[in-house]
Amino acid sequence: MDFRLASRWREMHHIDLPQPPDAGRVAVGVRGLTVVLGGHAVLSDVDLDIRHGELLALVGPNGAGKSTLLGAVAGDVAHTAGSIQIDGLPLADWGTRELALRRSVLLQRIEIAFPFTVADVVRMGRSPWAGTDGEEDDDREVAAAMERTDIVELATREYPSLSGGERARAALARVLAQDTGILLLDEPTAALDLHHQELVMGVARERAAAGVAVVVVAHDLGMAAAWADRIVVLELGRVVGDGTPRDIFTEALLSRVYQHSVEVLEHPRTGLPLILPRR
Amino acid sequence: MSQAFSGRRVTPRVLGALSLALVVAVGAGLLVTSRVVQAQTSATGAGGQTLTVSAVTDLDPAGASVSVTGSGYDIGKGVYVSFCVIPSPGTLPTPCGGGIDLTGSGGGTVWISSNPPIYATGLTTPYGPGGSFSAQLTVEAALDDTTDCRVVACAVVTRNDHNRSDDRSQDVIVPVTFSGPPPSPGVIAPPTATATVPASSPAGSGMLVDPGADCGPSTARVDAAGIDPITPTPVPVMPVTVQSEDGRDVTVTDVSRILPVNLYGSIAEIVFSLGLGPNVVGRDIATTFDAAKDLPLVTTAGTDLSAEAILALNPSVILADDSIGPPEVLQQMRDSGIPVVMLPSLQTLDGISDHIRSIAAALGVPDAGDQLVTRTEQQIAAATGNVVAPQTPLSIAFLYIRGSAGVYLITGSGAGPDAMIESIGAVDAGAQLGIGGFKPITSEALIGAAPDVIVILSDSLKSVGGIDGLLRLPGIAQTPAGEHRRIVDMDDGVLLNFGTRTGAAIEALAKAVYQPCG
Amino acid sequence: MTRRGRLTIVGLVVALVIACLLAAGIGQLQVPPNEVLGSILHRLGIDILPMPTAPRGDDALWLVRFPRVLLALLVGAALGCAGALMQGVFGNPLAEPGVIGVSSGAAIGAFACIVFGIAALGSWTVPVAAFLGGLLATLIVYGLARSGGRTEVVTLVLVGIAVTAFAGALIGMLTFVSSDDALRSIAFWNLGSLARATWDAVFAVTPFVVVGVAVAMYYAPQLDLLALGERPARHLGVDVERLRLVLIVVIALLAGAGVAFTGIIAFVGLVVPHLIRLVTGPSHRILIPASVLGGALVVVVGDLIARTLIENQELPLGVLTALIGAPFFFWLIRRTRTRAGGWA
Repeated sequence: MDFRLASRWREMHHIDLPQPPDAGRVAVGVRGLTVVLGGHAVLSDVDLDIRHGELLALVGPNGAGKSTLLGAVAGDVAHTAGSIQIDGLPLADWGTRELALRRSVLLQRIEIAFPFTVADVVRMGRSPWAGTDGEEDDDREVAAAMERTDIVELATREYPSLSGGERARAALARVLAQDTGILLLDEPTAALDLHHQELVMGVARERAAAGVAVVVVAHDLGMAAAWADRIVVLELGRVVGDGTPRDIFTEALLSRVYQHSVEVLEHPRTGLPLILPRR
Repeated sequence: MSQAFSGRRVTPRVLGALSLALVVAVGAGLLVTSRVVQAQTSATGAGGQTLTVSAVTDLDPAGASVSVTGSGYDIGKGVYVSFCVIPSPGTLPTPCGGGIDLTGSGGGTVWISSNPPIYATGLTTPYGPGGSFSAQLTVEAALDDTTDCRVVACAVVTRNDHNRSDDRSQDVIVPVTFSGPPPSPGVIAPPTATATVPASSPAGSGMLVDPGADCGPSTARVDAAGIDPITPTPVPVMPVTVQSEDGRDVTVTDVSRILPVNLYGSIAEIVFSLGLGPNVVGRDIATTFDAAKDLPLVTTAGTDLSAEAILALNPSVILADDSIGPPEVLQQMRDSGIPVVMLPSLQTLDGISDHIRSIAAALGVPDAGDQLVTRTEQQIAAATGNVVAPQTPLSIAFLYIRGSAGVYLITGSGAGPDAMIESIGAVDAGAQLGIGGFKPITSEALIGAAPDVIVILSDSLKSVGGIDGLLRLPGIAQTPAGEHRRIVDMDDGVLLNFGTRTGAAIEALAKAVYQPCG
Repeated sequence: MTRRGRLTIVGLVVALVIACLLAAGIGQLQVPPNEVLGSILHRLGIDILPMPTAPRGDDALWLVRFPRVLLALLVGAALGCAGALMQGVFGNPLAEPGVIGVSSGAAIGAFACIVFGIAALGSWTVPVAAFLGGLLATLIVYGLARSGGRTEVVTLVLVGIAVTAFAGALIGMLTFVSSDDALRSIAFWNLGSLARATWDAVFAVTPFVVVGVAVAMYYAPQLDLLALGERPARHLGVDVERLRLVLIVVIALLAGAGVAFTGIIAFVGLVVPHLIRLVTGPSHRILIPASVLGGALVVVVGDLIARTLIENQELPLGVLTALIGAPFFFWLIRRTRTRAGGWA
């Protein structure tokens, strides 16, 4: 007995499936975005292009508006002025289902109300595909996502019983299983140990290489420098830097933005920027 | 399909606000309605007349002008519209305020007549279409030198004019109350119409004489065994078709298995008194006399009938009235083919004979019914005739009390106890206050009613912890009844029964009220 | 659906059928199960089993017992489903129709009808008034508990408590205005009982329960996603606001159907889904149908006990469910706090 009435029903409504992503095409176009919350301008006049095949790191001090920008792009936060376009169409014109097939979001808070198992939770990521051809890939995508995030042995554990790091990886697996062309990750490495931090960024890098537009909100500047193709720096709701890590991570800019004296060194072997506070 | 929150119309919020506004309106409406229901600005007369007064509560004791409208009056009979002390039922309203206003000027009494005598031309106002009229009346709390309407109950009344002063057919009463505290003691309430000279009681409260004032509480007892069948074995004549109170014609073919049920147990009592006791298969919770107390009970949820219990007894006829329910169960019995005869359920002395005859007719023993009616009427007449009541009738209040939680009801006209109280020549305090049925009463109003005796059910008395517990309840101890501990308790199986033992009940009540010393 | 889920549902169906047969036969009029079946088959034209031997036994079955057992089944199904939906919609295992004031609103609708003697729709007036009252209460609570397009669970519960208190005050006022006949009715509504089950009641309630359960089944997968939180559910394609609104209306309809003919029967919507969840897990694809069946089973058996526990006396069912449900509620509170580490 399988009460898949919902999927049958959905089949009757035409669902617009996304095109496979091609590198370089603009996935999300943000123009003049202004968000005012509680009388306070959290974002002012933000212009940003997020491209397929690119790993973009969004950095900035606390309160700069990084999570708000991510929320606006995800469609959760109302903007006061400006426009956001997903795959060429204004955000407001997309249906909930179609949007779910195109962008997935990993938030910082990952609670769950009832004790579902990890396998159940990851499988929830596949729900936008129910009733479409993509449904056939469900098992494969779920298995792949769980393997990639190193949670296969946690499959039958109840989600609320996991540690913070395990939950973070399970949530990431769910987002990966959703298999979208746009991937928005809000501080995905916050709760993770060194090994798993590298693992997660490696996954993000892979996805970008496969043509996904990946946005990562990061606190760790060194990590951003190591993994990202592009850096966008936010300060008090405005974009103050948009370019490659080498171009953006200058002592002058970082010191000003972070209100702290910062030194930028070059890693002896890789040549990547090492960013440290001046002690 | 809009996605971002910005585009979303907050329909649920509008819905919620509208719903809240609706509820507030409903709540206000309920408040207003309950006030209207409580205040009773209209009353209806025996001939269908309607009398409406514009304001009936919190009037200015120094003088308030109210408009009075009436309709449905007999235009061939002139009426006085005046402001009087509430009369005992069936007596002339007097005293009244303002005097007969022969000058026709300013608010005392208004004379409405479409056919006035010659000398009265110019002093009357004719009826409008449909026997209607409209008048302005000025009412004051001080009715005359000795009567204050904050101490006794007064009302706007209509009555036939002096050409027909004994014709009570157009008596309509709308009680009225004034604001502010009653005046200081020293104002004596007037006697009612049947009294001659008021006397003050030993306690100095200024109220009427009570022969049993010094004897304290008493219990009215009726023999619990006492059902006396009229004939040993009446022979029912079948089949018989009777009209049931619900309008249906019901045909009864077999009375070998009778189920008589109502709230008061009176139907069962009558069936047994007709001599058909052996045919009865089940009982209601109020039927507790010896001959019936071992029969199976069919009310399983308090006083509600149980369909299963009834079907299990397989009755051939059910006798009931609208005092017992739920109506769904009675319908289920009809659906299963059992004849259900609904009987009238007036709780008055006059209704008893009607009751007996209906039951006898439904059971095919009309002759036995007539005999029972005769015997019962004789018993009642004998009982009321033997009553030795004081010349100034006592004021008796029947209170329904449950526990000390303050559930406190007083009975008024038509509730049942009023008929019993009047049958022993006393005055029902609730009816005097203009109350109908069972109504909650405040302790202040009870003190204001100042009953000489309080009658309650024995169960009620037990539930408040006896006489002492009763006197601790607010308001009771401050009445003359409370001061003199004049509390009469009575078993509910008989007091409100209006069955064949009414005569005995009246005797018992009279004895307990007038000869409590034994 | 998991194997365990399948087994649970089959088990519940079997238990329910047995319970119905027993409940139809046991009471003041005893009819053995084979005669019960015999009577049913006889109406279908098949005469292989004996008819009831007790006098008026057949009448008792068809006029009194069958409507009563069927109404118990429908009311239990409605309450179980409403409870499961509430817990899913608000993401809290402690949610119950009583909590958001639905039962109280329905009761107000019914009381007002009785007290003012409104009978515009004949015997349907009171139940329809109960539906409307329940729906009104739900809409008020929902409207007041929302801000900025979101519904916070704690706010919802607090507003529900306020609505219940307000309803209680209105009930008190109506009691004051009513005559003594109405007082008896009011006692019936507050304590909950199946004593007034008729075929009319069964036919009235059936469409509401059927529609409510069907809609609940349709939305079961989306309820699972709602457990992740409002934002993640939206990211996964769930129209959260619409889902909440539709389900709240369904909850009000189901709980209103539960109150309209039987008075307030509490705790079924709380206990049943929780017990099911302990056995089959939280997936709503199993939880919803299992709660429907489990709720029906609980009320059918509960009514049987209420009718037969004390000789010749009938306990109000609502009292029985509260006696068992309230201690369970306390235990549930403790358990939720320790396991989920606070309010989920």
